[in-house]
Amino acid sequence: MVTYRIAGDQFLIVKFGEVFSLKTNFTVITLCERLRKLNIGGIRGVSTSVNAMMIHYDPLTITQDDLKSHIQQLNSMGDPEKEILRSRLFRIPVVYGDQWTQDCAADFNVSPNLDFVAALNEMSVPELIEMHQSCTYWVAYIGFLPGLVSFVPIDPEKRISARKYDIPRTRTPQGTLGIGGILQCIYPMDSPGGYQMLGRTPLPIYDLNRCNPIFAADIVLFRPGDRISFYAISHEEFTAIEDDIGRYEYDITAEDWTINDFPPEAGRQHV
Amino acid sequence: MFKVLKGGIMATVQDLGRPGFTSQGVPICGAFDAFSLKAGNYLLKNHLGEAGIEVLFPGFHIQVLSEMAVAITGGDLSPEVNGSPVDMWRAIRLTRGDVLHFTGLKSGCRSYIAFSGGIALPEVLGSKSTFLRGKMGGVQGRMLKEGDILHLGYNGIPISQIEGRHAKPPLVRNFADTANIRVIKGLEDFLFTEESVELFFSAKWKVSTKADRMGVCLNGPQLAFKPRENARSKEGGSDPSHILTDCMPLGAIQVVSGREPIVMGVDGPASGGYAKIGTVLSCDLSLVAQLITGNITMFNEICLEEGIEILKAQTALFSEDNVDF
Repeated sequence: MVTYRIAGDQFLIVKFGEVFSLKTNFTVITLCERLRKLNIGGIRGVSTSVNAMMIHYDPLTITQDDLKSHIQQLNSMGDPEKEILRSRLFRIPVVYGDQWTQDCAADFNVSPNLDFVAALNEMSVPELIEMHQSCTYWVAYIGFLPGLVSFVPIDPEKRISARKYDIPRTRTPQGTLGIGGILQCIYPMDSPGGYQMLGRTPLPIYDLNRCNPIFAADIVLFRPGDRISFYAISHEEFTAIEDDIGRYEYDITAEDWTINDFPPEAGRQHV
Repeated sequence: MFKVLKGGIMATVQDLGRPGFTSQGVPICGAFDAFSLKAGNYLLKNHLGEAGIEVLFPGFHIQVLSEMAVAITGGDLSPEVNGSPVDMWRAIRLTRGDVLHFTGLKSGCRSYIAFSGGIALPEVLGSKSTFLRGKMGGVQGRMLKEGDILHLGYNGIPISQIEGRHAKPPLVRNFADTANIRVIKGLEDFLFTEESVELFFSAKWKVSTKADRMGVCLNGPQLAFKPRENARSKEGGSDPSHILTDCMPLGAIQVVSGREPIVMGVDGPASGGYAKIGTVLSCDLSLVAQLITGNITMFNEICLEEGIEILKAQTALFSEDNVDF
């Protein structure tokens, strides 16, 4: 079920359902790839969220009706549910409850965020840290800032949640692992932010200067449809990785992924 | 070639931006008032998308190091050359040693300096535009500052063939303290009460102190949302204006908690989690770009078809019929 939302004279948003669902996200990602491959004149860019695709187009070159018929065509290119996506799994080291984000929270007169999130989800901090490392996360979209990656546990049973800051921070350290609602993210650079801070990774996820060969092709590390798992490191290990980041070898394995690889979930979120 | 003597409040190199990277979280960037940059380039017979300088507020000074033609367009910041006022919306010749500076705010807030041949700088993600938060484009991803030396490109046109070209009124924009901005309703307008949608299009909105290239915030009446059973679900957040994070079109008007609508600007985030009531017509972003704190703006509803006709008419303005020489 596709609905269209007019977003001014040069954007069209295509909504695939109104509920939060990773299966929907999978469909959005595969159809977006198909659209890109069609290389349609007049389309300036395509981006995605969990359940929508945004097409930026030149209305003097292509009409909205033409765009809609191209979208219809995408569905006729084969059942997206039978698509196989090459999904990369990244293993990312994290210092949970690290000193930098704790200092940052203190600067904004907020209690340590990891303690707060653990209490909200009725678990102890060690339990939270253990659960956080025990699951694999699905990269749903990139947005808000260059390279800022948003992901959720693939297993709905492992989805903790936390409310965002009432007043956003004006500063968040680069590499901070954050949570807002059920979405988690990694901050690509020092920036404002409103997600609760769980920890920090030394690995750059955005690098315009391409200090590490991983950024040779793209300045951002992740793309929708990737997966992430996390493992705990110490402050000393963090510093060791950071000091030799140019030679760090990112731990990536690619696997085929289909829509049936997601466990069932009960979607409730409207709009 | 020219040298920056004073960086002023904020002067950045901008062209028409880098569309196509929102999927990586990179905003479209570029001149906020794209019409004015294009007009300057047109007067100089440049490509319309050649990079120029976006000057925010007075205080920016440059010294010319080699002869060049420039055109100053956009908001009127009282440009002077060697202390004497110069015409805007006109191709003028500057010679070695000339000092161009902006001395006072008359209308709007952003002037554009277009240079014959454009500015010679490397492109980052297909554009020379400066994106400050991403530290990309322009001069090392930052504002221009004292001591910067910039080189111009070459468009092969002798200055004598462009000097004195000036825009006739249709190609000149005047920016007043009040603006009427055309908006195509849409996105999450259905989440607002009907009265609030009407109120949005009839109220006078005052530009707040939060106005920059990321977005322009407006103060005015509180807007209300329809009651929503599932609004307080854990995925979306706890406020009725919260939605599941979605893509953010340039010019979308996001209304956090029903107050302070914000028109998303060229350097705005590529996604957002609050209800949007509509989107500003692309060519009217030039008007949004020139708003300053305290200005009054009203939003006029138009449909998509009207918007495209307006866009066509505006594209047709870049014609020799609208240039005197």
